[in-house]
Amino acid sequence: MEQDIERYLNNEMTQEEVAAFLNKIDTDPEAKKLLSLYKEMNVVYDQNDWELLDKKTTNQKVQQYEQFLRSDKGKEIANSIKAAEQSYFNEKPFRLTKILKYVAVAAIFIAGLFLVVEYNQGTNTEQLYATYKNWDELPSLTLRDQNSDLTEIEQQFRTENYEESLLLLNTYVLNNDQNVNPQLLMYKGISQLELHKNTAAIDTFTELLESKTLDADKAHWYLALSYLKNQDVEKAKTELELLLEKPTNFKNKEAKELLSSLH
Amino acid sequence: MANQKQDDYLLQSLIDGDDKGIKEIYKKVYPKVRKYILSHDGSEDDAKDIMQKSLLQLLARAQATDFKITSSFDGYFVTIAKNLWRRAAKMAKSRVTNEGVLDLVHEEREIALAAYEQEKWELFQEKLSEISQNCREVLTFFFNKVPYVDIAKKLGYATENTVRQRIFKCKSKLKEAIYSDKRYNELKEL
Repeated sequence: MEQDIERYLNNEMTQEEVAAFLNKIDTDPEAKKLLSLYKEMNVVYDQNDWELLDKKTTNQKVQQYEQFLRSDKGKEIANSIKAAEQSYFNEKPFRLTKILKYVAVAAIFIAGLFLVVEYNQGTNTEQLYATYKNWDELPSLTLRDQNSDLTEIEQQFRTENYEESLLLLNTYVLNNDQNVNPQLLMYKGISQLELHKNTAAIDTFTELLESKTLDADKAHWYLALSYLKNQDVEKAKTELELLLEKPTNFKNKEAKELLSSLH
Repeated sequence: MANQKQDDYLLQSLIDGDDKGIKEIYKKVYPKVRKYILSHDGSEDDAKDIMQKSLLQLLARAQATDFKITSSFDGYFVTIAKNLWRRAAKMAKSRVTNEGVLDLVHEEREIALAAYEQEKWELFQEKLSEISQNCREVLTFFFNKVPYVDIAKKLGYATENTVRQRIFKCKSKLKEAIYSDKRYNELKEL
């Protein structure tokens, strides 16, 4: 039988032989099974081919897999996969941002070497703002499986959809009238800054500064960046100097560095 | 973390739906999957799609209590992804030949079908590795459409006919190995 199968699969049979062979296959289940295996081997072992199962199959395993994927648990894990994917791809551009930051710092340094006269202050402060902002180090708003509104705000923020994040944030604050949340203020102020609402951002960071929270002093750094963006170098310097008072202050090292580029 | 321990952690994260662990899987294998797809006529979006489908397929199969990965996690995962890409190519081809016939199937069913096909593929590979090395070589050439005359040259057989006989014998041995494995019959169960 195996020889016949081989000849059949290799198209080596005459028409009459093919007819007789197919007749035998129809009446002999063992022969049918054998032919099926030989066909399977030809496809499965071919590295340029793939054996596709009949889509309408009632095979138990296929049904079992499908049922699981359609179950609540399956759907839930599918969502976790999507969340992980999103988080993975959102992080990737940040690596580029970091590289750009070094390039920008180097560029500013080189420019500083050659430019003796004071050059366009406007461009300079904008550049410094861009160099020193690093929003991906902002702490996360949520712990795993917590409030989904906050997750959504953070997600929009991390994907740089600042209009959305600001809108959601304002709605959230309206609906959850609690004590001041310093982290939310940071997200809010930064979203405003990125949307070029500099004055509003300064108000937000001032509110952070006046809040009696542990993060209140961080406001000096954000205010300094806001003033830089607003091309108000003197006010930026004042905020930075406040950060220099103690080496343990937030962004103390960066403040020193930034201040020296402003002198 | 020791390799085995990390591999166990990655698989368990997928089974538990732990975002953090699944992200680790992305970090570990996505660059490899991407590289493969991009070098085989695929796009970045194709790579993302294949990555997601591979995860879902593995998730469905890992529900079985006896499911085990015998090689490294990333090696195994990349194999699944490569096969899914081959599968996509085959489907695209059959769509062209069945002009106008669009067989739309739900994503879950498509992944379930692919999971079954992968399982069968793995069983067949395992069986191939059980026969003699010589048979394995001859058959690998044969199944990949290398002409008899070239197989004769590569493996030092005197004539094409000797090759033909050898293939016949080796196929028979391989058939026995597959037949005698009860998993083959289980896979065939309706």
